[in-house]
Amino acid sequence: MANPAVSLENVVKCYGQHIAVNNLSLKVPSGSIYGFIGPNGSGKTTTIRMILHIIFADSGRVEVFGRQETRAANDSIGYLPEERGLYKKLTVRRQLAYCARLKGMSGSAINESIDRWLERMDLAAWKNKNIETLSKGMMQKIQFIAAALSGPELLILDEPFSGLDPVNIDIIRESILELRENGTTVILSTHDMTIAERMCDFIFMIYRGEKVLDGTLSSIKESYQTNTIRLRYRDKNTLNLGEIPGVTAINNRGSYNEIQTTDDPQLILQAASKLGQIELFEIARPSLHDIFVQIARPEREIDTDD
Amino acid sequence: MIKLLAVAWNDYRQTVVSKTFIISIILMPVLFGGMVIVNLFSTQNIDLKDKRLGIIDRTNVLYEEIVSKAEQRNQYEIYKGKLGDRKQVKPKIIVEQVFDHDFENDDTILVLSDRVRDNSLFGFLIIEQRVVDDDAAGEETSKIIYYTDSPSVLEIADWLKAVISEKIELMRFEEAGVDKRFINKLMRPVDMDRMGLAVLSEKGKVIQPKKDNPLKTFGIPFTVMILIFVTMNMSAPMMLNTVMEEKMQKIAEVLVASISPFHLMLGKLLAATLVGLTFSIVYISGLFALLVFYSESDLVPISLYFWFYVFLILGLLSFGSMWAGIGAACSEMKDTQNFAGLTVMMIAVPVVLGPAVIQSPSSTFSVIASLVPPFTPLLMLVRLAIPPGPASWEVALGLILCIGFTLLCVWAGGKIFRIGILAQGQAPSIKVLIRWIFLH
Repeated sequence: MANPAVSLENVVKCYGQHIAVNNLSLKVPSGSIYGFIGPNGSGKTTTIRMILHIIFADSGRVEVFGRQETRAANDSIGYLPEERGLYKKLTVRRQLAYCARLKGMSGSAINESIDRWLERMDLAAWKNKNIETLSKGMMQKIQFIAAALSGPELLILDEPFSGLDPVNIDIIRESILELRENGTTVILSTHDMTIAERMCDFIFMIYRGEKVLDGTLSSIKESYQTNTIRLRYRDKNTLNLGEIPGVTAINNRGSYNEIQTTDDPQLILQAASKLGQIELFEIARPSLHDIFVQIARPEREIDTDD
Repeated sequence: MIKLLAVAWNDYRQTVVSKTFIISIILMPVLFGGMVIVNLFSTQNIDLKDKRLGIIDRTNVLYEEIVSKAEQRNQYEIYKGKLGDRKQVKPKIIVEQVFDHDFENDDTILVLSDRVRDNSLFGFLIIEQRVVDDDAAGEETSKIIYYTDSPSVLEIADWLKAVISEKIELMRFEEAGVDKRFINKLMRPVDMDRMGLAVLSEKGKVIQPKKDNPLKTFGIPFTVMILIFVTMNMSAPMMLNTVMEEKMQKIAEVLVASISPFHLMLGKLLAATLVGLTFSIVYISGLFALLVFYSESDLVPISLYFWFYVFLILGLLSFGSMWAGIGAACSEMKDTQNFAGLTVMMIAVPVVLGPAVIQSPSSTFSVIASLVPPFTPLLMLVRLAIPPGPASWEVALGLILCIGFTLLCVWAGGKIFRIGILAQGQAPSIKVLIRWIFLH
């Protein structure tokens, strides 16, 4: 991978006796949308804070745009934290201008950028209104603008869609995709697996401070692929599936049957086609949700037992 | 640096346009003005109803004197202004002689007490025979007793005592064959003027000393002390409020992603200092205008304005840092109370010590107290305001210690701020705060 936007190598961060992040390594490819998933308390926020140099790793290396252990890169990073707020007494314009100045912007560029983004988010009429007069959804869009306003090279978004209605979700999603098209690298932390599947080029999962998934969505799904095949015949009565060699289990799912096999699916397809006219033959791949649950659930059950 | 200034400007602007600041900046003159108006109103609306007093004079020689003095008072002493345009400011005293034999079958005091209760008398006085009896000198029991149900009206009792004492004194002088006027002449006090010192001007001219002015020796030091106290008490806690708001409203994390926590705190500190300066400039300008208006501007030397702002800035920076650390460490306003109490006490102690320092600015106690860094901004300033002021080495040492203390506060406040600003949950103990300060 040439010049990753973010690179972490063997990073460890402890809070007292608690190991928040343990020997974590990852590389965020430039210009990609990098999905950051993991259960609550798994170390996502700690990792993000280390990328932003808000906190520092006990050991290991954190590099942003090739720069190590410095806040110099922070002007190139837009950040929308999960727990976020705004100054209630400020106007929208002043709030955004303040955020832009803290990102090193100055002069007319600030006003131009504010006007463009407010127009884009359909909030131009609210420019001179106090933040406290805005609805929750509007505030969330303002917070997104504050993160994206300075045209960052890296945009870190922690749950950017929580609490938004479907229309606003689409507006924010399109904006993120457009930023990616323009070269911005996006780290998208979310609990919504559907969003992650739809938007992310890469998925990274952290669990109990350790990396458990890292790669493209298809490679992850491939590695978590089970030997399950969904099969449906046009003639519903053609169901002597036990005659197919290599089938170890059959489950009737109503509109289709699910068979487990240890053999090559191509051999199963050939054998199955001899039994009748096939309407559906699908090698079942687990969803990201399934994979997440599969990783996170077992230890939770152990925790519960404890 | 630009980001630090952006934080400072944002906080400063937010504060000075807030209702709280605008109210607080006009509140003090309104309060003082209100007190003056209330005072004027109350003095102009005192009870002017005649006060009728019953007098039992068992000496049979003092009643006439009381009547005479009461008439004199009612005619001349209870008015303000010139004859023809005078205004009554005190009540008239009407006396009524009462005799013991009027109450043959009753208790005298009880009957007269009932008259006070039904408002036909304001009070009554019993003058015992012993008051003119020299043999009774040294007896512990009172010789004149005043009864009233309005004991807070001291003026009437004081007047009665003064009139009787004066008459008895005169009687004693006459009995001894001594002319009281002659004694008074012999015992008249010596007048003394209190002056400052003569100085030699740059042109070699001797500038004669000026008469001591109580406004200069007490009023100015007290005013600068109160002004610096009020300014610090108003500005530094604003720092706490803005930090708490950013923490409670979850704005802090976005800020520290753009600017380091230490620079963020410095920006806020700069804003709090500017707020304090704005507040004080309004008042100092007002006081200066008053002094110029009354041609008294030389009461406050220019150097005192300089020292006022030096110590104000140091005070705002040191206490502002403490408030910033407290605000960052606590997640809820109620958690700040324990820490804030300590800080407020550190500002309040020098105000309590102030009068003693004004009274004796060069005493060992004053010197030591003014060198204790948290007290220096107020107490050294008070000493500087009283001529001839402290020795140069004292000012220099106080300044060095105060600057050192300020740097220590900024450093420690920054350390606490850095960790506290993102911490959530229960407020840390003092022990934990100290650990944060020394944590790498």
